Amino acid sequence: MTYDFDELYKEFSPRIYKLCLSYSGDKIAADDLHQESWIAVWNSLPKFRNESKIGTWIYRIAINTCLVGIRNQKNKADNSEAILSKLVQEDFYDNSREIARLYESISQLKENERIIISLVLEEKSYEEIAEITGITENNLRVKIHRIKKELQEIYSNHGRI
Amino acid sequence: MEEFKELENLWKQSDPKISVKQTDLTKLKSNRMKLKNTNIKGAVLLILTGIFILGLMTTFDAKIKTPPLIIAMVIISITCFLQAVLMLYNAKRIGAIDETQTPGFHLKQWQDFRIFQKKQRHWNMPVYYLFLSSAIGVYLYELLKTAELWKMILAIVVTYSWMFFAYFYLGKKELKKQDAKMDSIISDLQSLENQFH
Repeated sequence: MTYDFDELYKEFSPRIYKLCLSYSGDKIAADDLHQESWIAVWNSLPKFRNESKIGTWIYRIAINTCLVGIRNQKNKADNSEAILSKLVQEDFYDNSREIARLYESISQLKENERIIISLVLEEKSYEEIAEITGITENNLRVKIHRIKKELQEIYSNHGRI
Repeated sequence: MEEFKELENLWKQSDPKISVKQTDLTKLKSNRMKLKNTNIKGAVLLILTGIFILGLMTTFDAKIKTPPLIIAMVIISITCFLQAVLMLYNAKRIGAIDETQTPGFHLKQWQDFRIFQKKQRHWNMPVYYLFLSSAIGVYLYELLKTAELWKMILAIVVTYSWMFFAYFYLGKKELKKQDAKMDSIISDLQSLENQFH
């Protein structure tokens, strides 16, 4: 089965962008990561052998792009308010602040946790998350439980600032 | 987990605007491809330099085209070609990194490449300088053997002083800087890789 790049872009682009945004916590960085991910998809598409679902394959590329794209996030915590304002400035929803706070909270987690929780929020099954990340399902269950708690904590603390 | 439901709903409601134009994507190169191309371009430039040096040699007058001079110029060309082969090998390794693998495996590929690159720098620089300095020594001797002795000594002293300074001071300093940068990249990749076990 062959896939049309334009169709794939149309279908997966918003979800991949959300992953990039939650990973980086920064719109500019997310734009770069998103673009870089789709260039990689474009380059690798002729080599796709239907060994996994196309969605799983695209997510893997995006995750790998994020992981090697942004390494140094050490000063992120000091800059969270600036990031938050950057995230909300172009959105016009009533709950845009809460949404921005959610993305910002996710970006405060450890790298693998950001990825796992983004996939959980996308309602991916444990099986698919395991396939995308290469982490065993048993290990994932433990991790997801812990990450959910941690994310809630960060999100609530943000609310009190 | 009621609170988490709230976060799930927020995630569903979020619809961030994508500011990338799809039409540009197919024409652009990824950072990995850019890195690969930098190595290929460098290799091509070195091959052309090597060919130029060999070509230059053929234009020399028969009187100065002595066997040592020919050997010296051939050594310089070979140095360029070997360096080019190394850069092409690096390009091949970068090109072989598979972005469609699991994150752990993907990060391991980058880590292996960076470790190789770090090791490569350590033996590459002395070999490069050894080839270059011996070839330049022979070349200078052949060019200046008819000149006055003090002029020949002056030329050799100035040339080698600069080469030793470049190797033992600038080169080592740069190597130390590059090592620190590479160590930081390798350690970041290692720590990320560990997160996926």
